[in-house]
Amino acid sequence: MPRILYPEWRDQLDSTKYPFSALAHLKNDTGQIILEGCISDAHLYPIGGKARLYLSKVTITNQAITFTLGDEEVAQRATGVLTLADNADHVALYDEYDRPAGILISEQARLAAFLGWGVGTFEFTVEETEFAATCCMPAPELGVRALVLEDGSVFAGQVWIVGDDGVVVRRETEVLADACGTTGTRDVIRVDIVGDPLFRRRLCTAGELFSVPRVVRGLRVTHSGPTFTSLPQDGNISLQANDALAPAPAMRVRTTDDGLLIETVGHTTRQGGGAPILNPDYGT
Amino acid sequence: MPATPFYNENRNRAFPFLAGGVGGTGQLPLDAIVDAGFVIGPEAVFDVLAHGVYLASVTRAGDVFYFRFASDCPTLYDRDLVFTRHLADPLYTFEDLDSEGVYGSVSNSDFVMSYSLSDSLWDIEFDTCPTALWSGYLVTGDLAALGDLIPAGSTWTRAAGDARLEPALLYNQSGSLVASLNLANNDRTRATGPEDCEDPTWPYETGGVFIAATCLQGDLYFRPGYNCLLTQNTADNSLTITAARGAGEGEPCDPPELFPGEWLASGGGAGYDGGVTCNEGLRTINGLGGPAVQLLAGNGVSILPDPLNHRIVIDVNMRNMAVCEA
Repeated sequence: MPRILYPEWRDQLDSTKYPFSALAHLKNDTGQIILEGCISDAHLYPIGGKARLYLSKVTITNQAITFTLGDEEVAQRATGVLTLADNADHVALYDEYDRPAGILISEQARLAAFLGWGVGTFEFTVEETEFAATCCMPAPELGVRALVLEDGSVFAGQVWIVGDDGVVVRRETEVLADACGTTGTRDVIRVDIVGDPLFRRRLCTAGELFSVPRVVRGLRVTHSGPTFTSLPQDGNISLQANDALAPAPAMRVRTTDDGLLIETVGHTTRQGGGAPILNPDYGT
Repeated sequence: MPATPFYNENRNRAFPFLAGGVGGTGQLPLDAIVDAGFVIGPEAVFDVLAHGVYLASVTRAGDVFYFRFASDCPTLYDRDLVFTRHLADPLYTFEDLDSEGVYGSVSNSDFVMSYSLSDSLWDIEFDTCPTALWSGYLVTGDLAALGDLIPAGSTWTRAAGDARLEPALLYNQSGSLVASLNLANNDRTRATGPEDCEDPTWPYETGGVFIAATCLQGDLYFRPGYNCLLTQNTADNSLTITAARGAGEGEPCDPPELFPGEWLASGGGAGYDGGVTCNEGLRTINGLGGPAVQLLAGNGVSILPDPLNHRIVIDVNMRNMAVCEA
């Protein structure tokens, strides 16, 4: 029988326990056996994964096979689902936040061997299914790996925080207090919640539910002298009848319960003594 | 670094490529490449089951070879990694690379539906974080056979289905970390003029998104500004941002800018949104408030309306007053 001197990578490892550790039993206490070559290769990198990554569980249903990856601290670090109808050769692993955690390399026909176990959940210990160290990539949980919202949405990569509806986000630089020799500056994200003063326009413009009010911005005064414009001070305009040139002006401007009254003081045509003097413009 | 025997074995088989993709007639010689590996960065949208990496081409210029690796992941299109070797390079020469074209920028005009203003003072350009979409390493073996295959000045190319790398040699970090935080603000609701009046105008495009900052990295802190309550829970590693009147920096006297140097409107009020602020509109006359203030004509005064000219005439005509005549 001819001997292949340089077998291909996967063929070379076919008769070994790889990608499992050479010391792995590949058999659990309920009799399930993982055949050598069932999985050809693997690359495992769950974020936050600890030492001794192993295949902790295989769950088989009529539609799919779920592989669960654990480590010495957590029995479920990541999972990968092989949907039987997809006829896939490999199984991609993801953690609880749907982040990539690795891949199991195989072939459709080899993976079908698991179906021989029947439907159910089959658990293993680290001694039984530990993966070889060369398959495992340390992926420590340094820094902020993701932003997770209350609804479960996960954001990674270059994340944009956008202020809307009266929320404004800004960047500020804060000078660090000189304490214990610490100096310098740091970036601060400032969140202001100031509301949207014109929100009714946005909410109510549809169907002409909102009409822009005409606001009186000022009073333009036209008289015998130059025209001038009086603008409100703190929203108020003051009408006065004072005249610095006239020590005793007859004109009065005063507020009443009914409104602003503008009048002149003095004898009226009914109060004056003698015969009334008719005002040529207005009669009696 | 793998031991040399591993490289020696790989000189006689397809690894790091899938079996059948190299080594045949007209294909890449087996001993040209003995190892390779790639890290797909967090910003690439990469699916290990659907996407892969392959050797797209080898170009020879004189005695220099350029190994171009590409991916069929759309995010990595036009981001090929090109490794360089000289024909005389020793066995098992190692090289690693990051993808090119990772420096970018973004500006406010990227976020408006149409951009027509020529004055781009508001269109501030912000640099995005320089991040490599992917990176990789290559270990080459004996290039003599490759030199025989590819004459100087020519290129050997393959389609995406050929010369594909073993999937286990890819480390997929897609979506696995927050590379940076970037800040922006949606536009305000802007004022419009009343019927028959002109709308306020701004010297920049409105209705889009205004960038406040990009590429915030390192140790970041959130600060509660106006009316903002920030609570931190270390038990569940959460940060809660809540609106609470008077919290944080209290209530503002003036609204904050959406972007640095935000301008006021022309033909509008004193607010950034072009609206009339509370004290810009006439609210009271001599302390009397609206909605309607009555002007009453007493003795000696007539108040005449002139609505067509938007005028009120106050005529001190001494009506009903006793006057002296000469």
